[in-house]
Amino acid sequence: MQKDKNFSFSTSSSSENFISIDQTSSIETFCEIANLLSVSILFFENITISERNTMIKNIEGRPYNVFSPSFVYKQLKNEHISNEKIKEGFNKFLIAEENNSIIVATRKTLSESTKDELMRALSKNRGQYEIISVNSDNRDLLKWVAHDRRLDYISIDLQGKPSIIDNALCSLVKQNSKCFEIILSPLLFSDTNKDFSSIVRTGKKIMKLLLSYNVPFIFTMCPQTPLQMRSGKQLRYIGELLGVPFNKSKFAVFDYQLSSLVDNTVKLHENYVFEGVKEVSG
Amino acid sequence: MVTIDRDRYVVFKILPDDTKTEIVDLKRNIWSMYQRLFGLDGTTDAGLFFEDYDVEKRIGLVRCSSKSLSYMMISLAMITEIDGTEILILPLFVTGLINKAKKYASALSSSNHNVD
Repeated sequence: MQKDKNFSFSTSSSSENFISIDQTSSIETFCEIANLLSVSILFFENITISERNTMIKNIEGRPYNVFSPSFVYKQLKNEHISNEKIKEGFNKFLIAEENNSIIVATRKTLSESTKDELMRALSKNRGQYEIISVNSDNRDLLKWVAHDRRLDYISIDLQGKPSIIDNALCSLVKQNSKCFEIILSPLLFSDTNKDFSSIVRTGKKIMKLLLSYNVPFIFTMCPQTPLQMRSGKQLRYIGELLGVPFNKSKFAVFDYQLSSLVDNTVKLHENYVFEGVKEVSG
Repeated sequence: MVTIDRDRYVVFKILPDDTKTEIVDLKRNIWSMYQRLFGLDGTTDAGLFFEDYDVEKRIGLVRCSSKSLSYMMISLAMITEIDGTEILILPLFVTGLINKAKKYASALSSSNHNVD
């Protein structure tokens, strides 16, 4: 049987899920390092879709090309119908050597403590970002978030209390195909050994629970500067410190992020009517 | 039964391009990070040895035992700065043959970057 030479899943590509830009760094500096690390999807915090589009227009003459997810989707939407096929198309697009491409997406983290506040914040921000995640200490609120289809991730800070993640929340998240987002940067920037060991202990408790329920989770470094980014394999190795075997975190650095991004890009496109239905011109 | 401990050779590069990192500082940081994470006992089992380091190109080659490869990778990923300068140690290639590792490192160091 002849193998399909044109297609293979990129095993080394990864994504950085939570980049905060300050005044000292720009999208370009992050893309430069991401290109060296084979990080092919970057999610920038607090940058709206329209702001992102104007920013990436100015990036030219670099060894890499920067695209928005909607641009890639426009190229693929006529060829593929299902989201799975579109995801494969994104993957092909990213691994194509001639493109050397980085996809820049946007995200927003909502840190409200009550349901009313969260709903208000959600109505303000919905449609302006590709990914919306929630970070909260309120366990009941997180359970509500696990049900809501407008929200994508539940962010977990390893410096917080491990008790907010319980069995009920894990099974809810799994049922509703949501993801936990584990922020690993506290491991790198803890000041003392005491802090470090408490972070590792919290992380191990949480990861043990997530692994026992087989709940999807993703790793992110939450970099403030470009050099704080890590490649997908490095993230998986750091995850081993929290008791996650290297092979169990295979999808935690690229696949889950890509599928959330594709689902939301399809939803945000003007042709989308509701789940499974979209307008077809001509 | 006699068991042979296999070695692994990791070729790494230090980013960004404008840093000047000396081998002494690099060794000290990697050793201390490994010791912080896995203790003295783990460090002795690791068999760390710095084979080669090009200061100009910032490309190095470090040896460790095959069983401690993942610990080595964790240690490299956890290093964020050397002497107050923010750096990133990027492992590029892992092999069990030193000649292959040296060939890869020298190909990287040469200007044409012609690496298989």
